[in-house]
Amino acid sequence: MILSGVSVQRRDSNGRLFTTLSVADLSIPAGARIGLAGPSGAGKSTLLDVMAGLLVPSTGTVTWGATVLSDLRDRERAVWRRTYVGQVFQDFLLIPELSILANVVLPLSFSQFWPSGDQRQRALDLIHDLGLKDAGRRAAVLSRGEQQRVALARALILRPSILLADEPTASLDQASATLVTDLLFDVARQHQATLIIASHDPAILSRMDHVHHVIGGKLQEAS
Amino acid sequence: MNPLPMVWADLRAMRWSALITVLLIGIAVAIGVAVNAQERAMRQASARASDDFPLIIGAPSSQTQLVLTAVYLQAEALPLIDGNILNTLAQDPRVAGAAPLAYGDIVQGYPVVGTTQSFVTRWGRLQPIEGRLFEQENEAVIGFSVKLALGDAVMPSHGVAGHAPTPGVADEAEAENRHEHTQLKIIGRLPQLNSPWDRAILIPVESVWETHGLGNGHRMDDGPLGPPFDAEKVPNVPAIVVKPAQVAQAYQLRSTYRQNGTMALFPAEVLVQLYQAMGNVKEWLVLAAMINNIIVFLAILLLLVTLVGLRRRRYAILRALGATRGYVACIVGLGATILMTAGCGVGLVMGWGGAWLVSHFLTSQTGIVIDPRPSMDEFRLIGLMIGIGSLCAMLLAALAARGEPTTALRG
Repeated sequence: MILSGVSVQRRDSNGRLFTTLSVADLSIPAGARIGLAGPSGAGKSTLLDVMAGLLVPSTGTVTWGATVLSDLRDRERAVWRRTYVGQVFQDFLLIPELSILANVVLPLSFSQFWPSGDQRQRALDLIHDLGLKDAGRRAAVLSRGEQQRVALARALILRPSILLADEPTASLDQASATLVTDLLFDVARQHQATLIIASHDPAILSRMDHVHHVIGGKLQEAS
Repeated sequence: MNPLPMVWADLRAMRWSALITVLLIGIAVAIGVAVNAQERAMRQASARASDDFPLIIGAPSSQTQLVLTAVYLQAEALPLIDGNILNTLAQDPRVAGAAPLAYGDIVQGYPVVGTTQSFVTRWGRLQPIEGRLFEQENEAVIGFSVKLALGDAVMPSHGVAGHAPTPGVADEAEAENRHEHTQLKIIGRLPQLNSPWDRAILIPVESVWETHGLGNGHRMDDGPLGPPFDAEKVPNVPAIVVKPAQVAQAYQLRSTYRQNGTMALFPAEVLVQLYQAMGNVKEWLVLAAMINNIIVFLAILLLLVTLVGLRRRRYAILRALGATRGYVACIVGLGATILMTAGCGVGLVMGWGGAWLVSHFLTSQTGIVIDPRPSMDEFRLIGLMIGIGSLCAMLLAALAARGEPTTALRG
């Protein structure tokens, strides 16, 4: 993935334009493990949104292989996102009324009516591999650690090439945080996915190939 | 694409709101359905009940009252007409049959009607399902629903003005006004007519005259029942029902008896006037129901708009996971359509149920069997509601799908 001359601009309450993100040049090789560090509100989540194709930058281009994301129409970006990107959110963002299994296969329902037998089996294998029991339990009754693992399984169900995680351990206790971090790195390695994590957690950042600092919306490479 | 899991999840998440929404729509729709079904059933039932009364002759007064009393047995004192008209009609070649109707007495709350054998059989169309027709003055034939048995002996009472007896109940007023010297024996039961006549006790008109001290209308005391009556002795009667020989002659007869102290009418034409009045009332009721529906729909739309607003983050998650705007719109639109359709379905059932209950009550009060049945009118109304509901759903869907998900996602 290559970001070139990317900026995201917004208007303040007085209608004046201001820049919330500015990335002159960023190249992420396939399979890399990239950390995004920086204070809250610095623009880490905005950068993840741009990389996920959720947010079209005001200027510049985001390129994935031969695909320029900003050239895609909204529907095409949605299809690209579910094809190539797996996302794990800080608050997990599961659908509480659905079961573990239904949450994991939810992204499949965007493009097909029922999961195939193979897809269902893959979902069950992911659930099992991530140490979750009873795939019929509703998400509402799960512990936070379990919810994060379901969110991870959901992100992996379509074998994404990029795994994006926004503060994946921020709301977990130390033991759960370690478990989830290990899982993230393990599954990224197993699936040969590019792993990009926005985090304050030094334990996570120390395990990344590169860590970029985002300060005041500007990207700097630290290590 | 399969929006059903998310639609299910959404409905489950807002189950109480969904239930209230369905009930509100159901009540709003039920009012419209009930008004339609009830009005139609009443119209059909009242028309059916008047089938055996092609032409009625009475003294000039209220046409509506004459029909209500003669056809629907709603007790009211009517002015009398000359009984000799019965003989004139019997001689008239334009008349296939004519019978007096004499009212005023009751037995255990059931109205007693004095008439002739030929009218009891509705000009030969009916035969008793039990027993036989009356052949003597002290014999009575009962309607299908009268709770008396063949062989029972009963004593009629004089009806009291302003007192509405309850069928099947012999109350104090009835006991106080009994015709002690008259006893009637039940000798036959008629088949069900689905009209107030199912709760009537039919006796020879001579018996009514005798009971009230007017003689028997014949020269001899023990002569045969029915016409011809003696011109000098026949008493006056409240109403005469006439069966014209042909349709054209019905109009001639009506014209003939609309003068010289009599009034002639087709119950159907009086009913048409009543239906017009009912129709006007119905139109107002339907209009009120429609306004009520619109208000309820708007309130529900606002509720759903609020709920969609509250679920913006949920839909943003789906967008982040790769759902298109179309998928999100589909979830919201389908969910709202399901609620509206379920509400309309509940409304249809509640409306018909309500109409059935009201009809049941009216039948118990009037004896006219009112049987509301589903018709295309209600389905058209429901179709309209679902159409409006779907438009609302599309509005909601557009609302849910617009905007970028990133703001809601980080909220």
